Amino acid sequence: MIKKMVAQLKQSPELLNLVLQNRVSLVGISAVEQRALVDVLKSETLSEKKVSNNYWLSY
Amino acid sequence: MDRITELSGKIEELVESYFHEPELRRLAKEFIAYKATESGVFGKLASLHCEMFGGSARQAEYAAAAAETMILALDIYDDLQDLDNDAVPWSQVPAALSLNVAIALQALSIEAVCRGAEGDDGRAMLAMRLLNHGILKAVNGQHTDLRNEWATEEECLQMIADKSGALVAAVCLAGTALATGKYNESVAAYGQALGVAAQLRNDIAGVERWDKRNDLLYRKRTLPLFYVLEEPGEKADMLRAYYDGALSRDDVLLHKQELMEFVQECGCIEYAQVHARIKEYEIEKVLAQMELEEHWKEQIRQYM
Repeated sequence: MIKKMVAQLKQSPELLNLVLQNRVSLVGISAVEQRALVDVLKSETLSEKKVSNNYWLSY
Repeated sequence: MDRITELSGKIEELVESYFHEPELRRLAKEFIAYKATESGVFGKLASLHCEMFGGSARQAEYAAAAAETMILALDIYDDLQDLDNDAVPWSQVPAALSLNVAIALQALSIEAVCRGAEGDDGRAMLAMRLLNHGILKAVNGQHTDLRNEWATEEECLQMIADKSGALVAAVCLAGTALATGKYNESVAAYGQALGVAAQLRNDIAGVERWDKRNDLLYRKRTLPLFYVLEEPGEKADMLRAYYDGALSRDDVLLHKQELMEFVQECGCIEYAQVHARIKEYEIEKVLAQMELEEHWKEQIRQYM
């Protein structure tokens, strides 16, 4: 279910915002799983995502 | 003398004592020296647990030596099985020789435990059993991995628990046993969770680093890649075709930028991070219940 939840949230920025604001409870995952999901997604929105591609492009 | 030097000294002492055949000794030292360039996390955990529970510095060094030689042996076996790591020295000599060195190192690990027990046969026996139990669990996970048998998230997580979880728990427990002569349930619990979290973070790094060691290019099956390969769409179709052998590495590399972005954005990283975070909560829960000075707990947290 975590897998489906992550996929859904990646598709829906509105739902993601509601989850990050703790304004919605996700069905089908436990409280611990939701806490972990919120933790991960919050820390992601706070940091810059950087795709390092130097090695890849020179492969 | 710093701890790393002491650890190398203990391993060197054991190699000199037991490896008389010159080429065996030479290869063992070369493999050990190579391994010493890595993080040494298993040795550090074994040594930390020994010290944490009252073991002497000398015992802690032997605990670390036991852990590091055991893990090196397992790494050699793993690379000989997977044939996916040309960079290591044991892939650059005939497999029969590397295998023999690995067998020797595994046996040396037991001797390190005996020396760490300082004559207490009960502690030696317990620490040896705990290391051995780790290997007995890990071989099951390894077999699942080698046969590509897992198909679900639960099966993948079980395999990780059997491999990485069991091995990390084993070195923590062995270090603890050398100091106390006892099995510690709490150490077993957080050690297991620590190992799983560490493997998941390693697997996340495996899809994030876009160099020769990218797990996708090697068609590895990890939790993040399980997510990727179940995604809908064209890019995932291309990756599935690559895994099935219908596309070559060069075909994939032609689309490297877009595939790299797809993997970064699809959610596979967050998915694995959530599972790692759940394990980290488990570790914190166990630590909270332990009567251990806070500075020791902080040292364990460094491995999260």
